[in-house]
Amino acid sequence: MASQDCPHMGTCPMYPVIKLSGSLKVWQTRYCQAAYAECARHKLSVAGQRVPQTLMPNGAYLKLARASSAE
Amino acid sequence: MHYLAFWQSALVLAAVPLVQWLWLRRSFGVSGRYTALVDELRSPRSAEDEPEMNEAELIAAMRAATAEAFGESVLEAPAAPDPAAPVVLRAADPAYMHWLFFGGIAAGGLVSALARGNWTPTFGLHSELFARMFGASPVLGPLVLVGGGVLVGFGTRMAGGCTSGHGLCGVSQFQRGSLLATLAFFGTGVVTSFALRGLL
Ligand code: SF4
Repeated sequence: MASQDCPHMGTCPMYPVIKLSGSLKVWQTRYCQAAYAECARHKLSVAGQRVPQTLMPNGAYLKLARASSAE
Repeated sequence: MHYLAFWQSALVLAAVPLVQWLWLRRSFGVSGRYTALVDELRSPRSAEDEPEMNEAELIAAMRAATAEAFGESVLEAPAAPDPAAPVVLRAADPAYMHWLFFGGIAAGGLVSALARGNWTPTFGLHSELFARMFGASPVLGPLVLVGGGVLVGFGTRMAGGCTSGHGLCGVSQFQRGSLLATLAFFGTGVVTSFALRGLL
């Protein structure tokens, strides 16, 4: 068993999304299956704080680029 | 006490994460809901803070964040976006949804107890062992239950989930951390229960 697996994998809403796409695997290999203690989501969670849905493991936030539906 | 046959319980329990995932695209977790409710009461968030995204929008946003963090070279060719893809990252539920969820759990428990026909209110658990250990005191029983609840809260926060999140959803996704967490809390429960029965 890989001892570096993040214990929050089963419950973290970001993890299935990371797994969803091959090009996002880098997060999985860097954080979820390695340095999970450095993941911004993990840190907030174990500190008992709210984990924003759009927070990435490196502390950056997702930016929504939505095209206007009126066009 | 009459219990459901194992396969009946198994079917119901298997349906919970499946329906939750197919319908809401989310893991099911009681402690997660509780945490979200507490967070929501502490500081309500706005829809702008956490926008809903469908799958195509989410993957695009994550690809941009990935390129920013690690460079374009880690990205593979993008999959064709599906404009009809379901929403996979949802804005957080409002507080009333969490209340509804917990109300549903309480109501379900009450209906089940009433359906058994012999339910009476108690300050403890309907358990011989509990009564032998703590008596029928209106103070000690509830205190022990609240103390147990606090410990469960601490443990679920530390492990990132509880029996439903890890035990149902995590295990059904074959997550090793969830398997380990489930083994730890069920194993500890079984050992504690045998130890108490042996001692008392
Ligand atoms: S490392 Fe971070 S993103 Fe990955 S599963 Fe754990 S909490 Fe979620």
